[in-house]
Amino acid sequence: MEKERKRKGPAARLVLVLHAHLPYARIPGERFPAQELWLYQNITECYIPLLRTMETLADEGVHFPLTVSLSPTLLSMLGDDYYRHKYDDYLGCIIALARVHAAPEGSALSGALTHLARRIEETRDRWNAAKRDLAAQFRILSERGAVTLVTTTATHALLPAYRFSPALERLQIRTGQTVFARAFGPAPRGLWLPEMGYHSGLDELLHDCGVEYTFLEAHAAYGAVDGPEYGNFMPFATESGLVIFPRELRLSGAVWAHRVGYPGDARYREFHADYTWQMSEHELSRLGLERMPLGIKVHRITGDGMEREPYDHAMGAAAAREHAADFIARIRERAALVAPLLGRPPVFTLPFDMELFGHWWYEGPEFLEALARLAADSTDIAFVTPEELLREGIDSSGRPAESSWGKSGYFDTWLNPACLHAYPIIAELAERLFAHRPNARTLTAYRQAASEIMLAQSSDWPFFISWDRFADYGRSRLDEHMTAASRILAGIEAGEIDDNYVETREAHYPLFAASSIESII
Amino acid sequence: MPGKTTKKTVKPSAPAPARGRKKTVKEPDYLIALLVDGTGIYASWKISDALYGKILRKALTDYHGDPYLFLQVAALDTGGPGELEDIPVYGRENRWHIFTTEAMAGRRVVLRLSYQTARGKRETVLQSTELDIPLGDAALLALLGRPLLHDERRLRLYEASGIREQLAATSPSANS
Repeated sequence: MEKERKRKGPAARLVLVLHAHLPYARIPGERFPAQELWLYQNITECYIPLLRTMETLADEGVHFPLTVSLSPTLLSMLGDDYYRHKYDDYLGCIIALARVHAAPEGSALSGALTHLARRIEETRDRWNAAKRDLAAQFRILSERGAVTLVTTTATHALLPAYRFSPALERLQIRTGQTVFARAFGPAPRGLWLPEMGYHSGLDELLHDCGVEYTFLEAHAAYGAVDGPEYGNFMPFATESGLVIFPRELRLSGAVWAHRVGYPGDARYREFHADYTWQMSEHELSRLGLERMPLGIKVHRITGDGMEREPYDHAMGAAAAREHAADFIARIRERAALVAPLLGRPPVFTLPFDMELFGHWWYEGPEFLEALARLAADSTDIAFVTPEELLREGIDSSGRPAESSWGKSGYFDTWLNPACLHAYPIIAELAERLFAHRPNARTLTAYRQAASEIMLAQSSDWPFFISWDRFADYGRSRLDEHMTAASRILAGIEAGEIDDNYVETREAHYPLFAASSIESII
Repeated sequence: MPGKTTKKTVKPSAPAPARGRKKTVKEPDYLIALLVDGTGIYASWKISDALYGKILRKALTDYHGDPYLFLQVAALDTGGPGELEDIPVYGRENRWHIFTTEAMAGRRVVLRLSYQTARGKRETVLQSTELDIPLGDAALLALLGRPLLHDERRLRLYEASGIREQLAATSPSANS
């Protein structure tokens, strides 16, 4: 039973959006390649713990509706037995390593290692109880009304980078919707724009594709002529009818900001220190492992250049509860400041990368659980979904400005001299794809060429390149997909398709093999 | 900052087409304009053989036989002058970076690639998609007296939003 809802109207309403995305990576020749470890660590630290939190809250009738965006690349990986088998192996390894190193009892890290082993064993129990199908768990929560699911573009393409090719943008949007519908049923009403990238006229295209609402960065509500009258503190409708939920910055910053946000508190678990580096070669080789950051983290944030102290989960959990209470106070403070300017209670939209909660910030799920309970007990704060607000009616309208989140606020991370060269090449590949009408002979190759073009569009590659993190990997994936698309298209154009090559590519990147891409184009 | 002509890195590597089976693939012409950050537009274009031939028939050409090309930033709205920038450029395949100006801030613009005829007329051959140039802080302050942003409440909301600090803290110059 849901707790009795507030009788008096809330002073602030909040739309909490968690966007889950990982780039599609599949490296069959290796046991735990770093690019696949991102998935296994996020299942362990983020997706399963968050599902557990949401289930617990729903079971207890705590009203805490979340909006969850699951990217098609992530959904594809979660539904693929290739990853499921490897994840089973991964869980077994880290439980064994944590258990072995927890002895002898009383040593400096034994408490933290025991906690970790126990936590991962619980995770494994949940994984097995869920029949290793996490997408189904999200669907169940959606059916219970605990989450509202939305999608994003097929491979997380930054759409403003392809504004010159509306057909390519449409392919990304419609493929994302198709993958979502295959996993969850009807097409979603909302769509997360990767990197919150928006360009002039995109609202019309989204609206044409059946998207009713999306989320944009705060300055989207101020930077254009005819902007919305309530700025970024209320959702607003564009001329085409698409509803924009602009981000609230100050509250978001309290949660994610690198230096001043909650996750930097010294009581929390350190993300960057992986105990695997301290383990003996012998223990690793007994499990057939090479030394690599497996995600065994047992220190707390202690400070730069200091000997790190062992992680104490009770201390971390207490900090999460304390920060949840502080966040509630900040919401009230913010509402008190903004409401008089608006002449009405504000709607604060708080979008985050889901992976922040649990993976980057280990105690994130506990923070959310505490926040949910405090909000449910309060009379003046209510979490709502975009669709509840759409039902009420959106009475503000305006034109959003071109914008993105991230450094500088205008696509800088994804559109800069280090990666700009790729966009005209992808544009040309798309032109060649769209110039061809597939037939029975060319259909498989055509679909794979479309997949390769979409994979080249992933915003992850320019992100890696621009931030110089996995930059070589980003460059190699970008080149790999552009080269593959070009080769397949050349075969189609010449009437000489290299079937072996197409099959090899499809086996390596099967994520859209079942999609009728040609019907979208 | 002038652009430069570059070569592509991706080469088709499919087998050579068999005699008599070759299909004609139309070479694309394009003019891509991207808002790269709050202060710049990246333009990239490609002119096919067919279009280039058409241009050469009518264009004023230089000593090397190349046509005079111009990249123009033109406003589509009615908030001021229509032509905002006119840059002499070169090359069938090229890239250019254009710094946005106060005159462009808040305007909806397109980029046009044109050539000059022997009679001095401009003929547009390629046009980009529309760009909404954002209002930066300076433009916001400079323009506040106009009806467009003469809204005390929106200004106060903007100040309360934290955007100014957010963008300043993450601007490329602040990080470099």
